[in-house]
Amino acid sequence: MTLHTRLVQPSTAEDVTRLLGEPESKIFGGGTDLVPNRTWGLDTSGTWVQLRAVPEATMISLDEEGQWSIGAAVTLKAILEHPKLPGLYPLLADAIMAVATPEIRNQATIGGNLCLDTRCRFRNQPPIWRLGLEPCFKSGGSHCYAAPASSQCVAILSSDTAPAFIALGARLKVHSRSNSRWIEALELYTGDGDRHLTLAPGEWIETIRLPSRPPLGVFDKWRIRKSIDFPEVNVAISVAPGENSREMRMVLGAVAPGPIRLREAERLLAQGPWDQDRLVLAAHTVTGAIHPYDNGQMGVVGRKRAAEHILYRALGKLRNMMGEKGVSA
Amino acid sequence: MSEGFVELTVNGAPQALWAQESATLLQVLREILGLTGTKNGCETGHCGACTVWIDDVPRLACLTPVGSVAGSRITTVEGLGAWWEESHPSSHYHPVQTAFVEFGAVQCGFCTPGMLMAAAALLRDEPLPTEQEILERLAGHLCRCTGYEQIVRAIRQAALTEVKEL
Repeated sequence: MTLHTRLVQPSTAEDVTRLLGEPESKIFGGGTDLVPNRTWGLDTSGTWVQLRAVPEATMISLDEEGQWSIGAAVTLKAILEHPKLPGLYPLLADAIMAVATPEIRNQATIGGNLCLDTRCRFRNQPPIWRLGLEPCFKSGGSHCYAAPASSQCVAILSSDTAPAFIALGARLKVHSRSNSRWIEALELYTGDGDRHLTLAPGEWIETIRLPSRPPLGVFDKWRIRKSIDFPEVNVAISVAPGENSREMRMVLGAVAPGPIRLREAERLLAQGPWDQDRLVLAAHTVTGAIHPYDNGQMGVVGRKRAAEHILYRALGKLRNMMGEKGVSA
Repeated sequence: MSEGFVELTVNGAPQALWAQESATLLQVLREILGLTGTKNGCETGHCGACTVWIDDVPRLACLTPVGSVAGSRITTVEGLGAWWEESHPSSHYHPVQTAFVEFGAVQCGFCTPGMLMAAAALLRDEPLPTEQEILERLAGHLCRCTGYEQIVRAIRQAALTEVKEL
């Protein structure tokens, strides 16, 4: 293990941007992803920039328009223990509770989970395991072991909160050298496992803003060990009841380098009442909408079946929830 | 600067250590301070054997660069008994330590320091946890010997002992 990474704690957004402009520097959240990657030689950053001295990145606040903002450096534990947020956004709380273990949630940050590095069973291995393989796309080579015909990396984004934020319609404040801008959560991901974030060098996420009217929503996750594992597939679904129509977002995660919006299933569910047949049909559309590779713990067929299963399960749960709240399905 | 003095309070004693900022707290505890009670299991956050309290919050020492916790108060399994003794002068050991011995919740013992730190933190937050709460809190702790039965029973017993004392 190389032990020469510099840790810095700037206190202003401008200093964070300046430090991130230096070569080989990276934001350091809780370290629960970066440090093991460093231990296995997968992260070679020269500088880790911490956000915990930047006030905007460490606060949970409510603005005058009733929108909650969560700083990127807020820990998962702090969100779960917040007096208001888990009750207002149970979809988000469920997604956070599904992340790893209590000790990791005590340490990991929400910005870190959104920007989690992509993973692949051919890369996230100890150095001695990787010795036998030529480098893949993500390791600087020109080959993908999971998808040999692919021209780009297909490593998986294993974030549990990314689908939740997309389903909630959250927006992210991105800081750059010249200005700051707001983007939709889905716009954060490129779909390429190697460079999976749309952030340019020097750009970083300061806060996540939630909508003022929380939609109804559910989160579900399939993993090998319920106690700790990354998802093999996860899903977040939200419904925001409107006067004449409802806005629905169905987002699947952990089957590609970024979350996938299931628009065909959304259309199908908007066309009529949510009877059993329609839910089965909507869940089945996922098998055509996703193309997982053999780079997780489960095989391709298993992940597709798991995706269909949890989608159906989540839709059933959401239908019950809508019934309880008096929202027509 | 990637190397320098890092100040910590470890088990109540102030320490100033010369270390790489990105060296893990686990390396510092074991290799510089010689506190080998905290175990080095997987080094990737999967096993929970390196659990310590950082400012009273259970966290994984293998995932924590020491530079990121400068100025913090660290409690390791070596300091758990003394921490308990501060509020219970008649006892040198935390009730979970005693219960682990009584219930045979230790076989090879490698996971035990992490289990103890997690269990003691649970009892501090929730004096009489249900079995489900205990299992949820131990989710990040792997034990390959005991099958967890005795560990959960020991924690339940420790909770009952503690509540009786209150």
